[in-house]
Amino acid sequence: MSKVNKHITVALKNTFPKSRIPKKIDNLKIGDLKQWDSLGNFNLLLEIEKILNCRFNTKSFNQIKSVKDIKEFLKKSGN
Amino acid sequence: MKINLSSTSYLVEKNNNWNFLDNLKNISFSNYGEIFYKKYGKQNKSYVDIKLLFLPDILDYYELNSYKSDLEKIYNIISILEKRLKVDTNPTIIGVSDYLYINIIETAQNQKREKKIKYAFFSELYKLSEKYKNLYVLDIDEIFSKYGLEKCFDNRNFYLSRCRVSNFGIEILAKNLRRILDRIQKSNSKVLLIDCDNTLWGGVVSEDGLGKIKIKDDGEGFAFFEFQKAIKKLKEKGVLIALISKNIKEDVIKVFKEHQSMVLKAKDIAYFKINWKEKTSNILELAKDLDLGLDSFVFWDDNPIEREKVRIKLKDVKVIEPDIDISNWSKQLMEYEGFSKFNVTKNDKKRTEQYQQRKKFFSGKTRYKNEKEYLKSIKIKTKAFNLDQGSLNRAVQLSQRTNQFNLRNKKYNHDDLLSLKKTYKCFMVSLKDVYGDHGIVSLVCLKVVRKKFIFIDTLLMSCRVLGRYLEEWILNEVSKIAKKNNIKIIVAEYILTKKNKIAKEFLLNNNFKKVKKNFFKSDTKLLSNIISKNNKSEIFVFNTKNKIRNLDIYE
Repeated sequence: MSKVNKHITVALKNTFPKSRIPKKIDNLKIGDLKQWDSLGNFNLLLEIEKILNCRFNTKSFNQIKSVKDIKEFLKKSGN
Repeated sequence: MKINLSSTSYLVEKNNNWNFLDNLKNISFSNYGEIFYKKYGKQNKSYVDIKLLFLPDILDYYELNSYKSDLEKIYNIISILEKRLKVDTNPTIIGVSDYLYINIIETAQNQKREKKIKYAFFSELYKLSEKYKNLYVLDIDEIFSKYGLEKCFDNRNFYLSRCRVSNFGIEILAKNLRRILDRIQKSNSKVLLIDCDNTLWGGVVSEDGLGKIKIKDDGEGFAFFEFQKAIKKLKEKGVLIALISKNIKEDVIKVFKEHQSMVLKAKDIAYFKINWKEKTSNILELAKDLDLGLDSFVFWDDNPIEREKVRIKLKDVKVIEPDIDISNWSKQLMEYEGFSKFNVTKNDKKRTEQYQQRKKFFSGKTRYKNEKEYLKSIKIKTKAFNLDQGSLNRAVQLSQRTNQFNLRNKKYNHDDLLSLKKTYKCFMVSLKDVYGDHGIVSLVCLKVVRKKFIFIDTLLMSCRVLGRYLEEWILNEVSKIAKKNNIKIIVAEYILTKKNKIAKEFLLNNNFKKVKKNFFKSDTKLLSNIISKNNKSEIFVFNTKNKIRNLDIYE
């Protein structure tokens, strides 16, 4: 598992403690986990910011809805 | 205790950082913006109500001429809040922030309108907190400024979800609210155990000599001087200062008596434990002398080995890790919240003096062969008076912190006592003797039950004045009240705790007889309605015909 995936998995576990996080997370998106609704998405992105010490701007924050989106943003911003 | 969190801002419920306040399961979030939506009445369930008010959500920051209408909004909030506080005795914490932006040019000659409103708001809130002791006020900006306002607020979060604060801001809020809750639930530490050499002054007095130790000189000496000032301030707030030092006693006393720059004087020190014994055994002795649990002690020593020894051997003692630079010690001590409490009473200011009197009382007692003769010689004067507004703070304090001589260990707050005194006979006792004025030392609350018996709801006494048989004088006062009401039976309930065995001994030594809980067979509900359901509860009865011992000490 890549370092980024490990970090995202930790963020998913922290944000959705009641959900079982699968080993392969690349295709996960909003709605796939029990608590991953719009509020869950907000909390997940805040948690990722905390873990990866990065910041999503207002525009991207609204657009990111999946692990794929998160990874894309991180790649673009050099994380 | 459940927590209800409401705010003018969205609080991002389920955010992990709220776990720093409490387990998320224990926190309920009101709907966004609904500060006062709940119907308030007499609440049976205990919970803490936390309201976080962000003034930019309430006031119109972009309208220049809205000062009056904004002020009205604030007074309206105060008025609603007061209505709630009148009926709800659960703790309420109000946090307020006025931060939106900082523009130093705009505020160089004029106070910002929002700031004026915030100050007016705080002034009103503090007036309320003086009246309603279950109200606690929190300046959110002050807390955030310690960590950086920019880091704690987040405009992006506001535009996305109407949440004013950042993820980090939520963490800081949660942690600081937890600190207030902890103090509401657990009383403060009472004794500062402090070393001397390289702690109260720079250098080693027995080696460097009186003239060469550093106090007040520029640099290091000045830092020690300020540190002593911080300690003195604590003493004035009621913290007992005990010196625990491996040293030559005469040398240390000489510093206190002769060094011109000493802020602390011998009279500020409640106990001197200056010898070559292990500090841990000195602390244990002190705990026994003061009748205090080890969790009441805070240890400050420059020597890491001494700190480690205390940490390992006396786990309940709080050991402070002093900053590596002594310049920060004064600030570190002032910021240490272990000693802090919400209110300082008149009695707190006299606490060191009172413990010194206690020490004199016991050393006097050992000089007399006949205990009664000794007690008569110290001219004890007692006074019983009804609980009133002026003594309420002290009554609450006694109720909250008396753990040993306390029959039922019921902890009352201001509102509890105010409502209790409407139907119960509540009185307090103050005590004087040749050693000084000991202040108010006891609280008694009695319920007269249908002219059948008197139930002792509360009988507690500060352990500072034990050894004078004051408890028997108090029993006599209770007995007088019973006789006045033509009542022959006094009922006491004893609820066992870890610390209050002494209260049971008092009952047994004074002809209280243990009875079954259905003692009043004809009307069992009379008693069962007022006694505790706790299985550690025992019922004792006392007949007012019984003679009470040791009253001659007080004649």
